[in-house]
Amino acid sequence: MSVSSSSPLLIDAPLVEWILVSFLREEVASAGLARAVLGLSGGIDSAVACALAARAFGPDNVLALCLPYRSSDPASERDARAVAGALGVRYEVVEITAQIDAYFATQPAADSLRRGNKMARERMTILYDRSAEFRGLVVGTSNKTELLLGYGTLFGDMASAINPLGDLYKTQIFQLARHLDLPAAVIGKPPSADLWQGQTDEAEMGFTYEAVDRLLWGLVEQRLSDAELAAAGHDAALVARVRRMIVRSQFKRRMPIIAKLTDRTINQDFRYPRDWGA
Amino acid sequence: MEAPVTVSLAQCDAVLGDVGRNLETHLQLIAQARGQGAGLVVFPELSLTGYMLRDLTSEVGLRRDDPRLARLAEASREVDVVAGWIDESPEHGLFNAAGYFHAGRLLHVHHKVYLVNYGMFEERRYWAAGDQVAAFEAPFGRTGLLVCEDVWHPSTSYLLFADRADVIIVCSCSPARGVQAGSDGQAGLGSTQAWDQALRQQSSAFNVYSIYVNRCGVEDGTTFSGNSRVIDPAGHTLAALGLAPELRTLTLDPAPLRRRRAAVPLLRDERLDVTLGNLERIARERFVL
Repeated sequence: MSVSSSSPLLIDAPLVEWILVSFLREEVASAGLARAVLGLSGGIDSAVACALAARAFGPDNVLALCLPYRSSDPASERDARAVAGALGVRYEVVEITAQIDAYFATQPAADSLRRGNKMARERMTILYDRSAEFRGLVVGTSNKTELLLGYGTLFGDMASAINPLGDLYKTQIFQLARHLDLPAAVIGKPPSADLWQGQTDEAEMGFTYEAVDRLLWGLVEQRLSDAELAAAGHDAALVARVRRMIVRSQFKRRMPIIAKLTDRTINQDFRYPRDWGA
Repeated sequence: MEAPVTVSLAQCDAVLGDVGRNLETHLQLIAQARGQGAGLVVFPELSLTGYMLRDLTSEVGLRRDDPRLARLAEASREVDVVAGWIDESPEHGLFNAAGYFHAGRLLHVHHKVYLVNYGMFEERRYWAAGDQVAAFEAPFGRTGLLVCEDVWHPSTSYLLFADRADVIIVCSCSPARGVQAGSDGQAGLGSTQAWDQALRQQSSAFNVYSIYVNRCGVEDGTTFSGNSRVIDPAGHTLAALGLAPELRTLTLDPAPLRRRRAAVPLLRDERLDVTLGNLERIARERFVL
């Protein structure tokens, strides 16, 4: 996946690396810690997050957990292991099959969406549990494209203490992955949530990351109108669909809303920085 | 400009909301700057408090008789200091302030006039806005202080020019934004390029030395972009720092300023009467006074 040499999505990768490594180091230090935990899926996002964490904290201070279910593609674990090996971080495989199957034995009617969400949340609870043992923060791996489209599980893969990737579009993650010299197998394969055999993000969503990132750039970064997006060559049906996806997933990008009763409701008129006292 | 000044740019981080720890950092950097022969040390915007204060603002506001400001003033017996803090007025207004300390006392205070309140910023919710822009006599020459967004309104630089400033000191907390690769293969932060352009424009249009000191470090996910710099009165860059913390010391000489003013006598030729008369007319036409 590549973007043209004149694309506004082209990033200064060494500069981005510098900012994100410094972000990880300082924000983890704000919590009084110097270690990180993350889920390593075998995909490109978590590989990039892992590489940044390894640079920020040193490989020995990064715990990468691969958390497969029995239907996960074996190639995913192989790729995750290759990434962890290349970076020298601590690596463990923790199967989630037993607890997922035990739960769904009581929910035989559950569809693949429910099952996928449950798996994502199961992985989240393991990352948070192990982060307490490891004394590290959970590093998020959601990119800006999926955050805007709502292509993620709330309190599942979207959950983290800090997220270095949330302001990078998917095609920019690929650029950063190449700059960070990640294994070719991880960069070359089609992005997938790996919930069932042969699933790919682009087939499931019905558009390419290249097309949707260009559209999101115009829509979000440049605040273009539908007419301006059409004039720039974007398909009107895709524009309408992406706008709907952004609006309908807004709840996933905010903390739960609190019913207001007092003069100092948390986050409304009780406003302190996250790095309060750090 | 009366004399050369050796200035240290103290491009540093801050601990959000912890005035005591930040004061200790100031005193250490001031001592280091003295070791490098500095006559003036300049710290970034809100260097004593950190930037993303939100509701912490009222908890870190300092009255002028605060003993922590007295310690900074005390340090200025050895070397002049420009630092930033939340200045609490007698009426309990909370201003984003930059102050010049000299010979044991606070010589001049500037309250940030243009509180930035768009995009990622929400300063006007928390801080009171200043309404004065004035130059003052520093030991080396006439000087003005501005804080960050003030520079994006050229009227502030113009007022200091009209007030005969030779040096404009800008304290800033500019967040790093814009990581696009340049079309010519050149890259760098979009926000830094914008600052570089604004400062070179300020120096060359108003024939002043610009001393720009910006924060580094990270607060609530925002990385401050450092890249502090000094521009000479012809718009040439004399020093440009990187993203990381650094104490950089250099000497500004009166001779280039004098040469520039002789070659391009903008201050001599400036028509304050024309500016004033037209501003009054524009104000009459735009606002019911």
